[in-house]
Amino acid sequence: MNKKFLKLFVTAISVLLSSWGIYVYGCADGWWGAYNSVFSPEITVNQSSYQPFFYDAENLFYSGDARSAQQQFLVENVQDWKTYLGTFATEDALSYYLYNDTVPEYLDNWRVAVQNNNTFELPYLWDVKDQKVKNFFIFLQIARGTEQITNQTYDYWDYDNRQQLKMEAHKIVAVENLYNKISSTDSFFKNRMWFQLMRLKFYSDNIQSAITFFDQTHKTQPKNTLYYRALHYVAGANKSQGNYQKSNEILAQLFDEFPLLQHAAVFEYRPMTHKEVKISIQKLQPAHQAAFWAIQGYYGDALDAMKEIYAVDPSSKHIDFLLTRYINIIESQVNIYGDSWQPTAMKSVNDFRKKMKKNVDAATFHWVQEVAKEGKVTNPFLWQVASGYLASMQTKFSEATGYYLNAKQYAKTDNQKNQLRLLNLMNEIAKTDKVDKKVEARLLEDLNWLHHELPNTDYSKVEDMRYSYAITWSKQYLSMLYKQQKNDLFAEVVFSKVGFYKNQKQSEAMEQFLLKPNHSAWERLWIDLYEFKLADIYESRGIYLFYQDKIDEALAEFEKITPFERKTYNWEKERDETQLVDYRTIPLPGNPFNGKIKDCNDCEHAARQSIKYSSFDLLKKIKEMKAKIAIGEDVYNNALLVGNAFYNASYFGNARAFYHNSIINEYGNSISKEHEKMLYGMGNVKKYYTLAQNAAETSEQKAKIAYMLAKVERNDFYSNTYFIPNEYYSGYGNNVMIRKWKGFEELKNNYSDTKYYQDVIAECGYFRKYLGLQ
Amino acid sequence: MKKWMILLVLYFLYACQSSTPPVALSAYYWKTHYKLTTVEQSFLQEKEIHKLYIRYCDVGLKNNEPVPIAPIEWREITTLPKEIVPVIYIKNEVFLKPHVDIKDLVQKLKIYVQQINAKAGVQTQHVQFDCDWSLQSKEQFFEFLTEFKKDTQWYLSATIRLHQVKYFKKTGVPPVDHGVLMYYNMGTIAPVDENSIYDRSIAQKYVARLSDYPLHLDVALPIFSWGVQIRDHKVVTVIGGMREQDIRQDTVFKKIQDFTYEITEEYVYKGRLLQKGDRIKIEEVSAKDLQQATKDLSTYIKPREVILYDLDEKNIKYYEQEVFKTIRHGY
Repeated sequence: MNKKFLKLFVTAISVLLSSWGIYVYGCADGWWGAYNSVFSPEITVNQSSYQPFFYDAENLFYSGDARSAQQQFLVENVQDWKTYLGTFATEDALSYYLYNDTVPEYLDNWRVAVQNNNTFELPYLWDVKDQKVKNFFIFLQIARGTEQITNQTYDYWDYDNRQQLKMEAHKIVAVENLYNKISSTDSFFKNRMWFQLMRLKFYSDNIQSAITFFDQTHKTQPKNTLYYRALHYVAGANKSQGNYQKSNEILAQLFDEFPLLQHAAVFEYRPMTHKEVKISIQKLQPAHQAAFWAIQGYYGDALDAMKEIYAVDPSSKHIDFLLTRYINIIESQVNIYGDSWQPTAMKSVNDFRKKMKKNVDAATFHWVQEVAKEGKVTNPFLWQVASGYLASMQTKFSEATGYYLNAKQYAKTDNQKNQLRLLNLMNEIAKTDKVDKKVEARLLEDLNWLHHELPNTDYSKVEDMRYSYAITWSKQYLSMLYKQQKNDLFAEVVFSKVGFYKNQKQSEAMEQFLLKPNHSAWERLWIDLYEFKLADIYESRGIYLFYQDKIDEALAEFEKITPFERKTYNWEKERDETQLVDYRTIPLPGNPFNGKIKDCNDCEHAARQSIKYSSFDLLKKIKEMKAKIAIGEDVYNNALLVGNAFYNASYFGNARAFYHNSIINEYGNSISKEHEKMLYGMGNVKKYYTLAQNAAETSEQKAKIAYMLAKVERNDFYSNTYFIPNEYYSGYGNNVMIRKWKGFEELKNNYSDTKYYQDVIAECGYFRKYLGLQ
Repeated sequence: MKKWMILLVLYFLYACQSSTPPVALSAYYWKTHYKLTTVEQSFLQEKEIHKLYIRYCDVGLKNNEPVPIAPIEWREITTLPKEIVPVIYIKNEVFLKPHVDIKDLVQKLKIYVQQINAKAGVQTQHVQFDCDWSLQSKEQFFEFLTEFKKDTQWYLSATIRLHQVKYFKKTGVPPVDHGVLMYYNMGTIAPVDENSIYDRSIAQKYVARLSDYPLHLDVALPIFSWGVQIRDHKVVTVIGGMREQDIRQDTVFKKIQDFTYEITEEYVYKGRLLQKGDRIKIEEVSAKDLQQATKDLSTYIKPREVILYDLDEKNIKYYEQEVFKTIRHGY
């Protein structure tokens, strides 16, 4: 496998970059690492070349940004030559000559052809008598003719040929002689050849010669892309010789003057201590000093670096990304997510404010404010907004409002306006001690914007906004206030907590509240956001009553359920869709009255069902059957079927969907402590199977019930031995899976002459094992 | 003098106890270039180590194709011991990739190993594979091992991690001639007090299952160390080779609890910028730990060989040399 290895500058560096790039691209997905932030550097920093340096707790560069300037260089080369050659060349032809892999094979032929003015030997009909065209082919001979060294390809699997090849000295001398002969009047060609010479010297045995050559000649060169690429070689040459101070100086210059190589400059920078930087930069011009500090601040202390930049050049744009890093780092400490993927709980207003305040250093806050006030920075929007946010964290809410008012005049784009609005809203919420009508009026519009408008805005328009944390945080904070005000009901509506519905009084109060006509706009906002509908409440009550075998009461709750509209996101069509949902008609996936030998829920779900039962239908049917049992009609069959229904609605059965309800919240493979008895429990099943057993008349009937009761005994054993003690590896290794269930014994001892007995042998491996048949 | 006496007594105790011959001692060599220091050379001689397990290369994915990464570079081959076992570390990602061309990989790797052998003028009959395979990659990894064996006829061994021993019915047993139990990297690298290299309480959850393992197991023991750099309760990086003795004397590192230091002023350590307030947690394995580990292991397995991870002057110097004797005689 031959892979072309694009060597940007230093082989080792590009190896690192590309392998690292592969790793991070795998998980790069917008700002997924910024889930605890509401302060977007994308919006507050004005220049996109700084983007890789935004704060990211997981990756070296923000979102795994592994950008490279290479592609841009390729494009520019073509454009530059096009400008030089004018009508002689097309872009297609130039791309072919400059980048096609097969070109090096023909270079010698073309050289002769061009020397002999023989146009027809070339793949494109250019006027080779023209000196500029001749120059192009001289250039091509060197640029493409040395690629085996300057753009070395190698086979990863060839151990013997892994070493970087070096340019031979005599070849460099020849190119240098050629270069010296070029008239300086053809400045374009001279400049191109100058860069080629830099490149060859870099890949020679004498890497120092690249530095010397640059020092001697750079003043005669224009400060174009080639200049900075050559400068990058000089940085690499210094670094490879361990001269880190010099390489850092050059990288700072690149960072300052050539944004395309900012990313590379930061990556290749070798961190120093603050003291060492102070000494290193003394002779540099202020703009480069500021850049030096900017890179140092990326690896080291952002605040120290900002102060140094501000002292050297208050208008330096390099300071901005550092301020966003500083703030994003504080956010990552303040806005912590807890175990259940919710921001950590707030106990009280005082507790919340104390914690917030603790994380912001007062002196730093003061410094940022002073800078904002002095008005010397080039990005006043950022500094005003940052001061406001820090003031808010310092619980100086009215000061924060002042800064946000100042920032308003600088907020030009929609993004900036949204950013400001978001932070202002958070400040307005954070300053609130108690919710009353006034507070509702003050917050309503902005909360509607945050919770309804923003999430429904075209994603491309708000992709730079970081607001998801604010969505949860605002609910949590207001819910905490309601809790303090002893309004548990509204605390729940604003931010739901597990367990609210365990309390019957609360459940009824919520029902009344949701049923109440004429909700206020404030109430409407939260009701719309509330994750439970009346239908969920009724259904959950019905489910709980079912497991208590209170079928009539359960039915009464189900009767109250009405259809409601639900929004779901359609991934194919990429939009929200509204559906009418009626819990009473959703069919269960299998027939809940089945009582098979084998518990294979998947098979039962796949099997054709002539009658489909919803949970509601199931309850109605059970009611009928219980009525028949009560009057002694076909007790065996009715009790067996009711037993089966309870079996299937348990954790073990084919109708687990019966207990799927967002309040009960048991969707997983294991059951929470709270519902273990209810869902693992076999009490009702046993009750009805025993009724059936007592009513059984034939041996077949008795055999069947004996087996069903063995399944019950087995389930109890699994629950008590493995599931409830939470032994994860149940059913694995030496764990006991079967015992001499009473039902097995009965089946074997009393009903071995039945057909059912034979069916069990055919279908149930455990029974065969018990009988010693396998 | 007192210490001497204790060591002497310990030595005799072990010498008397061991009715079986001592196990062979060998070592891993895990650097990217091969050149031994004089300390490393004399260590091999004194400890009668005649076999080195040398990491030849890693294999990982590049452009979604398996390629060798950071192969060993021979700088000084006169110090190579009698027997060399190439070790290939294959990243799990290689076999997680669906439809790996197994036969192609076998051929490439075989030739690659031969090329490296030729450069050093060595021949090998035994190759070891190190891969932290998972349930999803198991099938392809095992198929690779079978093919590699079939093609090369070399003797094969594979590293086995503790969890792979305990749950071998699930994780599978690699089709190799024997396994090497990696008795280290037991925990996760985290900003907590626990040592992620060796933690006896974790080891004990697994050790009793060793005797059930269907493959013969030799043992690899940790003598390496590292420093975990922690900032704001998050791990920043792991600094290989860092030991307490390296930093104890330096005032920049202020000891705040056992094995944990706080950086008192900004400092560049081996090219890494440590910020004021950062914490460094040193993880190393004491001689006592190694003896305890040997004792715990000896109840359940009888290795023919114990391999030290890894051969490095700093690691060797850290230990009282007697500990290596107790390791050899501990089974």
